Amino acid sequence: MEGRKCLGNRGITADMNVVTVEGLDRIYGSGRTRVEALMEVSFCLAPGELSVLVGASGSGKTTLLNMIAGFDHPTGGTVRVLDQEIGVMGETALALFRRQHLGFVFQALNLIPTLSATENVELPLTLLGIPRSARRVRVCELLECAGLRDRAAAMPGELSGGEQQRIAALRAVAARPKLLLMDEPTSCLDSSNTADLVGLLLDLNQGEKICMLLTTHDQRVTRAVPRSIRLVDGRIADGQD
Amino acid sequence: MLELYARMIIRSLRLRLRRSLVTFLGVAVAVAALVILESIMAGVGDAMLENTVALHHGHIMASWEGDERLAGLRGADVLNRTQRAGMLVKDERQAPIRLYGIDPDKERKHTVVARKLIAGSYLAESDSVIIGQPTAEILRAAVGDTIVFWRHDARPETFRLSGIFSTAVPALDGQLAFVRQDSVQANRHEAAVFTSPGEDLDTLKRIIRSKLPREAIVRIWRESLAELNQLIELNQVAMNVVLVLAIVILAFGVSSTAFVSVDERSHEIGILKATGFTPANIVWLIVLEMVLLVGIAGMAGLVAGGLVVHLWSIVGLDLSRWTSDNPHFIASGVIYPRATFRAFALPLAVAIGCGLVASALPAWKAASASVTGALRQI
Repeated sequence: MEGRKCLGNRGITADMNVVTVEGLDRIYGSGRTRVEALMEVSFCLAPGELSVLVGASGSGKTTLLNMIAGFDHPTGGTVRVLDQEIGVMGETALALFRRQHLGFVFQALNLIPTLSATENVELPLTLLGIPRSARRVRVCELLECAGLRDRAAAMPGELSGGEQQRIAALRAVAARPKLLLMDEPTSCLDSSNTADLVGLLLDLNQGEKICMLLTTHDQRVTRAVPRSIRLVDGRIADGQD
Repeated sequence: MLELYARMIIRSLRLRLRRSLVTFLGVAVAVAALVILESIMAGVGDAMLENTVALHHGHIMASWEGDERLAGLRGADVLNRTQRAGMLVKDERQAPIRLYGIDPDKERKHTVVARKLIAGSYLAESDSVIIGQPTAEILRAAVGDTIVFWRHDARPETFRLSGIFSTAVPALDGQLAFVRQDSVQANRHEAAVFTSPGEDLDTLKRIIRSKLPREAIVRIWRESLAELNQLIELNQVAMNVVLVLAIVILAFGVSSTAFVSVDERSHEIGILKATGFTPANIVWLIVLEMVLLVGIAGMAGLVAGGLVVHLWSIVGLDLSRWTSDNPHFIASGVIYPRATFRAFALPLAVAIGCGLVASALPAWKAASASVTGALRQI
C-alpha cells in the first residue's frame, strides 16, 4: 500500500480499506433447523480492487454480499464499509449510505420497469440531488461507454437481458460509488453478453477506480478478475488476507 | 424528487392499467353516489321545510299585541295577519276556532291552503270564510251556509262559507279558519315571513324584532317547528351513517388495491431500496400513487355526480307516491336535489382521506420489507 493518499472528495484514503469483514457469522434458525450460512469470515477489499467470490451453490456467497450491502444483519462479527459498521446502522442511514457509497447489481430484473434506460441510470444521481444537466452529461458518458447510446429512451421491457444487465451496471456506478457489489450478474446471459458485461466492468473498474466484488460460477469471469475469494460451506477456503 | 415520484407513479398506473381503471371506476362511482345522495338528502330537507313552512308558519313567525303591521323586508315577503280566538256557530252547533284575517293574494302565493280546497272557492267576497274539513263536519256546514263567529267580549260577526280545505294536518284543519283581513278587526297581529333559500334567518329575526313592540314573539322555524328540525337532522344523521359505511367500503377497496400493488411490486421496491430509496421515500411513493389515483377518480366522481344532480335539480324527482299522506310534503312531493358545499367537499375529502389512510399500511409494509425478502418476489 502507498501512504495515506486522498482519492476523492469523500474523505477516503488509499490506506483505508473499502470493506473490512471480521469474524463474520450468519446463522439462520436454531436447533434442528439451524443453518450456518457464514462462519468466521474475515477479509478486506482495498480501494479500486476487483475481486470475485466463488463457491458452490449454498456456500454463502449471496449471504456475504447481502451482509456487506446491509440487506441482512450479521449474527456475529462485523462488516465495515468505508470505516462505517454496517450492522449497527438503521434502515434510513443504510439507505443514505448505499445512495452515496454503494452500487449493487443483482442476478436479473435489475431495472425499475417504470423508468427508461436513461432514467434508470440517472436514478442514483437524482436521489443525490445532482442537477439535471450534470446528470444528463454523466448518463450520456456512461451509455456511450457501454455502447448503449441508441437504447437510451428504451423502457426495460424493450431491452434484451444483456442490455438490461449493462444498464444495471451503469446505474450502479453512475454516482461513482466506492464499492460495487454484483450477485451473479452474468448468470442469465449468453457468452457474448457475458463478454460485453465483463469488458464493461473491467473498463469501469479501471476508469472509475471503483472497488468491485462479484459472485459468479462462470470460469470466464473468474479468469478475468485478479483476486478470487473461495467460500466453502460458509467459510473462506482461500483468498483470505 | 417530486418529478421522479410523479414519473414513476403515472407510468406505474399506466403499466397496471386494468387495476388502475377498476380502482378509478370504483372510487369515481362511490364519490358520484355520495354527491347524489347528499344532494338528494339536502333536497328532501328543503322540500320538507318549504312544504311545512308553506302550511302557515313561514320561515319566521312573529306575533304581537297592538295595531302595528310589519313593514316589508328586503329579501323576504311579509304576510301580515290578524288573529282572534272564538267559536264558530251554525244553528245549534259550535266549534272552537282561531280566526285569521289574511291577504288572500299574498297567502295564495306562499301558503298551501288555497291549493287544498276540497269544496267551494277561496276568499272571493268580503264576508267569505273558509274552514277545515273537521270543523265543517262538526258544524255540518256546506259551501254557501251562513256561519257566525262569536266571542264573549264582542258582538257576533256573520260570514258566508265559501270554501272547505283539507291539508291532512289536524292542527290546521281542525283549529283555523280564514277570512279577508279587511273584514275583521283585531288587536292581535301575526306576520309570517317567507325568505329565499340561504337567507340568514338569525339576522332577519333581529331586524324583525327591532321593528316590532318589545313584547313581540319572533321565532325562526327551527324554534317553532322542533319536530321538523329533528326530522331534517335525523336525515342528516342517516346520511352520516351512509357516509361512514362508504368510508369503510372505500377504505377496504383502496387498501386491498394498494396491498396488491405493493405485492406486485415487491421486487421493484427491493431494487429501489438497494439503490438508495429510504423507507420514507417508499412510503411516499406508495401513498402518493394511491392518493393521486383516488384524487383524480374522486374529481371525476364529483363531475359525474354534479352533472346528475344538476339535471335532476331541473326536472325534479317525483316522490309523491311515497309522500302523499305525509304532512311534511303537503304542497308537493317533488324533490329538487341541491348541490351543497358539503355534498361536494365531503365525498372528495373522504376519498382522498381513504386513499391516504388505506395506503398507509401497505406503504409501511413495503417500507419495512427487507431487501432480500423483496428481491425473492418476482
